[in-house]
Amino acid sequence: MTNRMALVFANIDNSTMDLFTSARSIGALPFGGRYRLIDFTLSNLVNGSVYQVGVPVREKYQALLDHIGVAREWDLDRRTDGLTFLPPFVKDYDSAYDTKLKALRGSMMYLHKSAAYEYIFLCEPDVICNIDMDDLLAQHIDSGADITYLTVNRAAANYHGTFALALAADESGRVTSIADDEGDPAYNHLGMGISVMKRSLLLDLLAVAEQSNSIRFFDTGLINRYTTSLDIRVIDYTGYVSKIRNLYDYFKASMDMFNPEIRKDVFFRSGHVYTKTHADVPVLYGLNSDIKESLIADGSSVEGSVKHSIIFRRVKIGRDTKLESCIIMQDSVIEEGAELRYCIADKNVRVTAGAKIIGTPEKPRLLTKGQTYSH
Amino acid sequence: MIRHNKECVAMLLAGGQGSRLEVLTKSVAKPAVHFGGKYRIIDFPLSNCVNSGIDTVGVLTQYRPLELIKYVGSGRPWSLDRNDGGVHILPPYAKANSSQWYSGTANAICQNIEFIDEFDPEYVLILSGDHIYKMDYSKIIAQHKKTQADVTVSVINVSLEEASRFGIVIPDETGRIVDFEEKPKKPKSTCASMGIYLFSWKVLRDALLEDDANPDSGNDFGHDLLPMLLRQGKKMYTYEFEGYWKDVGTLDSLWDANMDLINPKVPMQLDDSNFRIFMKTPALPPQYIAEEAVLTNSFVCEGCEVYGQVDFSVLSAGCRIGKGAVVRDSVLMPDVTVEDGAVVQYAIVGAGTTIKKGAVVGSRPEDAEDISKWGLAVLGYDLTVGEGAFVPAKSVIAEDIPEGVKTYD
Repeated sequence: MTNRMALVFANIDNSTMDLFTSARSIGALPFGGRYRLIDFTLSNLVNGSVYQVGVPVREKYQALLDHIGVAREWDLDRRTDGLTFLPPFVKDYDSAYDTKLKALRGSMMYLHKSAAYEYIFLCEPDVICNIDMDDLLAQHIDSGADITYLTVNRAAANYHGTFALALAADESGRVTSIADDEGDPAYNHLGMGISVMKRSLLLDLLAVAEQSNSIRFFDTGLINRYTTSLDIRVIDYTGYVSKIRNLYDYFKASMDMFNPEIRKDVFFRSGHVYTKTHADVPVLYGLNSDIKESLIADGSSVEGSVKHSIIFRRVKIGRDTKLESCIIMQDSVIEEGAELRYCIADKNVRVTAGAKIIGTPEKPRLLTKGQTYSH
Repeated sequence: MIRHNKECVAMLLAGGQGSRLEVLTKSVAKPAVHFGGKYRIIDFPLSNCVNSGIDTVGVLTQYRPLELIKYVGSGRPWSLDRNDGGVHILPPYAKANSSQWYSGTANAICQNIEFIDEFDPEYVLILSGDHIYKMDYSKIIAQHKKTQADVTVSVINVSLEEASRFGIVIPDETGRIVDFEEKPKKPKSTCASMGIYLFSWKVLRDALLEDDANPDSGNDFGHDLLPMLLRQGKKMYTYEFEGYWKDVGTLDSLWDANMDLINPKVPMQLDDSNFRIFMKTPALPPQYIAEEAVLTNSFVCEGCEVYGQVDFSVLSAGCRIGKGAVVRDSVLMPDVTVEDGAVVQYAIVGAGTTIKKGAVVGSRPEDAEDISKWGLAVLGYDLTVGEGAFVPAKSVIAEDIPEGVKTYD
């Protein structure tokens, strides 16, 4: 047992990737050949000795439950702590349940029950990074701050994606204002969706929110009221980070994984990235396979040509096929002679023999889960 | 406490050294040796058990058990972490007045009679960790019941030439065993024993105690216990197995069995969702195949990074093949690094070994001046082959090789 816990807000979904998030919440979005987005957050937590993890969920969370299960892969199937799903509490069921604040209010019993944990991390499940949570907590404690937000500097170059939260901070890192990001350069830091504070402080703040109907949002509403009375700070993260909200973010982050430096950063920086494992066989490359600049996951077989693509688990790629700049999710089948460029295929897609499906970098063709395509 | 007796308990003999695998079993027991990229040899009997409905398995260890114990762990990867039953490691142990290593295969079981008694089984299945095969053990149990046998010995039909390498079982026309021959010069049958025995537990229990009391016995199933039961007139039948079965007890056969996995003509389908071979999976990203890579006819695992040329090879998890490097007809165990421009041909490379820039390991048989002197090059674990060094064919290397050194006169 350690002194820290976390909530991972899988109930929040501001993504605009309807096609891929209509059947699953954003945390369950397949990424990088064998992962789901939430794997990065959960792995960061366990690598930072956070073993008490609550996961509020709202709707379409079957894929997430199926993926996480009893959280064995993250060593979160534990006696004294572990991972707990927090679906909307029926008594005051709010059909929206779509904000951090609502999830926190619905998780009050869990928060009270977790009295043994002094610190709490509040995390969003849509960020790809490999951060040292242990170090983050140590920095938070050393600085004497009440609340610390992990951010990227707006002027830095190595972040990608769409960040919802903007923070204005002085040179010492002290936060003066928190708002939705509208590109205002005065808000010089962008929130990664990771913050830390004492659990007791969180409970005090939530008690205030209970008294006020006008507070609707956690960071921009509740916390923003306390920028003068509390010591709220930012720490700028300098490693690779990608925050996934739209299809462009997703495609860009996927293609980033071809870069060996980024791959090293994302998969090995401060710990392994864990995910649900299957007993898949190794990848079988056939007599005429021709693979260039691609990531391929186990259980697949490749007999054709694959370039600049990400192939998930158990994908079958037939003879004389040509794939270029594609993302093919698990259990899909690309039959003989098919040609695909700039396509993102969801799980269980079948592309029939000889089909030709061509998208563009700006507008990749999206192939829906479980469907068959011939053109 | 409620106890459910088990119909069948499997006992897996995993204590032998497997010395013919030389450097590959210098520090680990044979069943823990890596196989087929993602597997270890023990994954096959363990998965067969689970797929056959056997959920109670004792793994008898003795020689270098650390790697095996770590790997089997709680039995999670094979769903053998059970409340009732599951997989158990059974090492030799000290008794109040004596202590004894496992002196033979039968003795290993004899020292664990208490373990088996706890589950009060009808049958006990004896397995070894030497073979690559997929077998539904429920079929041998069904036949055993049908013939009301005391012992059923699983056999596979081999050619007459091969028969002299095996323990041969001689059955009559009904399948009842009438004799055994150990590696006969002139085999009377082509039924080779697979080292898989199904016993009715009452018969085995009595036989083990009787064998143990006999000071002249070598306490071995094949040499002592089965012939004894035959002399006593017990009902012993053969069970004829059909399918892929490969001994991986030698370096050559281990390499062959690995190569079989990438040969579409060999009937060993690992990718069968109804009969899967389970394994422990490392947390590594998908394999990365670079722009300049040439990769064909190979079996490659997660965490690999391929920048060079790979053909007819098996690459286990976490291998890195540098630019301009060539890996052909070889088996690489996990975390092997082949640096830029190095060449590995007809080789087995142990886990964690690094082959530095420009080094050459092994050669092709067609390039050999004298084919009788040609053979696989085998490197042990966690070694370094220095820059520009040369490891010729048919050498078995257990130590680091310094830069530029040729390992022959």
